[in-house]
Amino acid sequence: MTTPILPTRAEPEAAHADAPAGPAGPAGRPEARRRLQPALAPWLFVGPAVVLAAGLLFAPLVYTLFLSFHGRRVEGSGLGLASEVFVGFDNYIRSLGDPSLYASFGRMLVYALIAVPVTMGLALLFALLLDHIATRFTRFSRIAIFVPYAVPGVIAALMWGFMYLPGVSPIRDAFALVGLPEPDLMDGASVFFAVANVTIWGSIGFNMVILYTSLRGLPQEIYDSARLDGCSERQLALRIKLPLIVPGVILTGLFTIIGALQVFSEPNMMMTLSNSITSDWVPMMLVYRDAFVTNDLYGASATAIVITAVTLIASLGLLKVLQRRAFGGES
Amino acid sequence: MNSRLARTSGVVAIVTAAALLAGCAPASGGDADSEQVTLRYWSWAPNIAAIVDVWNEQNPDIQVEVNTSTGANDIVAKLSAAKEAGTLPDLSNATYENLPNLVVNGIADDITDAFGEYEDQVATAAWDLTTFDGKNYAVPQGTSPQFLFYRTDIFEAHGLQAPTTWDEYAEAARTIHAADPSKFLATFPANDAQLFAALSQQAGAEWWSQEEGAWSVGIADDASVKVADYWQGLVDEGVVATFKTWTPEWQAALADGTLASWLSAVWAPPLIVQNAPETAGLWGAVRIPQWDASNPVSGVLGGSGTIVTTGTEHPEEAREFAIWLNNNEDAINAYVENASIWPANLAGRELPALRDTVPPALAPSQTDFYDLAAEIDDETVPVTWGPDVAVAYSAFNDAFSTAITSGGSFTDALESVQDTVVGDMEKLGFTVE
Repeated sequence: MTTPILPTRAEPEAAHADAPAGPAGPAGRPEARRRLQPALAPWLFVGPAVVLAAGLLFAPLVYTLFLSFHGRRVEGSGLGLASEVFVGFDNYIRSLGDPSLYASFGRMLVYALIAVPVTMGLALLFALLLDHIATRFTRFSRIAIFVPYAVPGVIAALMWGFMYLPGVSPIRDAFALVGLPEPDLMDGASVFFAVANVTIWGSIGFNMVILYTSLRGLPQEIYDSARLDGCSERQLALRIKLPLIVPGVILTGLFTIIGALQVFSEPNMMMTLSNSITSDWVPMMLVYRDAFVTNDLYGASATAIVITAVTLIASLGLLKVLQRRAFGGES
Repeated sequence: MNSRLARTSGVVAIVTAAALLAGCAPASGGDADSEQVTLRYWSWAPNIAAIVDVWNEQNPDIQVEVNTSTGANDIVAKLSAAKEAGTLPDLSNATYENLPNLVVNGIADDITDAFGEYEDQVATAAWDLTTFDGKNYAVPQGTSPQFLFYRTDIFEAHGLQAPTTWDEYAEAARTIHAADPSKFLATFPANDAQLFAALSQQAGAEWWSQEEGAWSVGIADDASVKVADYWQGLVDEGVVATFKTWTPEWQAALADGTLASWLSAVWAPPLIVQNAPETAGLWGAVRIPQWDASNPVSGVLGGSGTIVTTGTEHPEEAREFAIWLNNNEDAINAYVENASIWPANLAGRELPALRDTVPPALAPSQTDFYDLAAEIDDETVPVTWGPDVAVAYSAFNDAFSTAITSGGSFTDALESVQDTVVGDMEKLGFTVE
C-alpha cells in the first residue's frame, strides 16, 4: 500500500525545495510546510477509516467488555431497586457454565456442516456452468440465481417457513397429490436442513457472482491454447479454471463459514413458527434472547465476547492455514 | 453471506439512528412557547393515535406525541436502553407482567400523589396489579377477563354444548377429533406461557408471591402440575393440536375450522376478525371451563396500564394525561370505538357504548358479552407478578417446545422453568425462599 504513495508525494516536495532558492524570503515557512505535510497527509487519508473503526467497532467492543463485567443487582426487600454494579467474572462463569451454550454451538456446527459445503459447491458449479462456452441465457440465469440474495433473511425465513408449516405447506400438498406420505419438514433432524436451505438459497447468488467475476477476469488466451491442445470443456473447467480461481473460492468460503458462525435471523424468525427451534438454538439467538427478551444485557455481553473470541480464533486460524495457498505466500 | 450480515447490521444501524433522532427530537417542547408542553408517549395499541387526538384537541397546552413502534414484548428492553441513554419518553404502556420489572429498574415512577385518590373508581384487581407496597406505579387501562371462544356452527354440527368443566372440554376435544382426525377443539401452544400461567392461576397456582420481603416461586406447584398433566393427557391422546399460535398455520386453522375454539380473553374478538375474517359472526363466548363448576374462577390473561417514567421533565402533566387516558369518559368511549377493552375504570364499564355492543366476531345473539365480562372479572383470582416474568415465559416456551417435539414430560418442563426463574431471581439479588 505505502509504496505507490511515496513517489507521488516526493514530487511536490522536490518542487518546493527549488522555490526558496528563487526570491529571497523567509525560508522558514516552506521548511515548516515540508515537515508538516508528510506528517499530516497520511492521517488525513486514514482518518475516515480510523474514525469509523473507532466509532463502530472499538467503542461498541469496549462498551460490551464493560457491560460483561457488570450486572444489575437488587437492594432492599420485596421489589427493591436495582442498580448497576461490578460483578467481576460472574457473567463469564455463568455463561461458560451454561450447558445450553455448548448445545447451541453443537447445533450451529451441524447447520454449518450442511450449509457451507452445499453453498460453496453449488455456487462454484453455477459459476463454472455460466462460464461454459455453450451455456445460453447466461444473463437471465445469472440474475435468477442472484435474486434470492436480494431477499432479506427475515423475509426469506418467513416465506420458506410458510412453505414448511404442515397446515399451509404447498410442498406437503404436492406430496399428498402424488400419493406419497407427507414429510414433516421442520421436525427433528429435518429442521437443520430446513434452516440451512433458507440460507443456502439466499447466499448462493452472492458467492456465485464473486466466483463468476473471477472466472471472467481470466485471460481468454489460456482457454484458446488449452482447446488447441485438445482440452475438453470439462477438463478446462476442472483443471484450468478451478485452480486459477482458488483465491476467490477461499475468500467466498471464508465469508460463508463466518456467516454460518453468525447465523441468526433465519432460525430466529422460524422459531416463532415451529416448536422445533428453541430460543437458544444457535449462539447468536442465545445472546439476542438474553439481551432483548429476558433483559440481561450484561450476561448477553459476556456470551457475546466469548462467541466473538471463538469466531475470531476460528477465522484467523483458518485464514493462516489457507493464506499461503490462496494468496501465494504474500503476508 | 458476510455481506448479507453487513447489510443487516447496516439496516439495524439506520433504524437505531432513526430511533435516536426520534428520541432526541422534542424532549421538552417548552422553548418556543413557555406555556406549551409536549409529552412523548410509547404505546403499542393499534388505534391509540385516534384516542390521543381527542386529548390534543381538548388540551392545546399539553400536546402528546404517540410513538407506536414498540411492541408489548420488547417494551422493557427499549425502555431500559432509553433509560441508559437518558432519552426515556414521558409516558409508556406497560403490561401488568412487566410492571414489577420496570419498578425494580427505576423506570416506572411513583404516581401515588396524583392517582391515589382514584382507588374507589377503579376495579380492585386492576388496582392491585399496579400497586406495590401501597404505591401506585401505573394507571391501569383494563383487565382481561378470560373467555372460551368457540365456533357455534361446528359445536352444533357435533351436537355439542359449550363445555363448562375441563372434563367436558376434554370430551368435546375427543368428539371433534374422532369425527374428523384433521380437526381439533384447540391447540396447546408452547409459545403462550401467558395462557398457561392464567390456567394455572385458575387452578390455584401462585407463580410468584411475596411475604415480608421474601419471594416464593410456585411455577411447579401442585396446581400448575395438575394443569400440565391435564394438557399432557390431551396432547398424548392426540386430540388437541400442538402448533404455535400467531403463525400462518394457526391463522389458517382458525379460518378453515381446523380449530373449533380458542381459550383467550376479552381482547380476542377483533383479532378473530383480523385473522379469520370469514368466521365473523360464527363465534360464541362463554366462561372458560372450570375444575369446580359450582365455584367459577378465572385467571389473569394480559392487561396493561400507562406508566409515567422517571425520565419525564413534566411529571404533573404526564400524570394528568395518564389518568385522563384511562378514566375519562371521552377517552374510554374512544377506546371502545377503536379497540376491544374491558376498562379498569368502574364507571367506564357501564358506558352504553360498551354494554350495547356485540363484537362483530361473535354471533349476533351474544348480547351478554360485556355483562359476562363483568361477572368473570369478579371471579378473577388476585395475582402477583414477579420481577422476571419475561425470563419465566421464555424458559416456558423453550421447555414446552422441547417437551412437545421430543415427547418429554410437561411436569419436568415446569420444573425446569421453576429452576430457571429461581436462579435468575437469586442472581439478581432477590431473597427467594
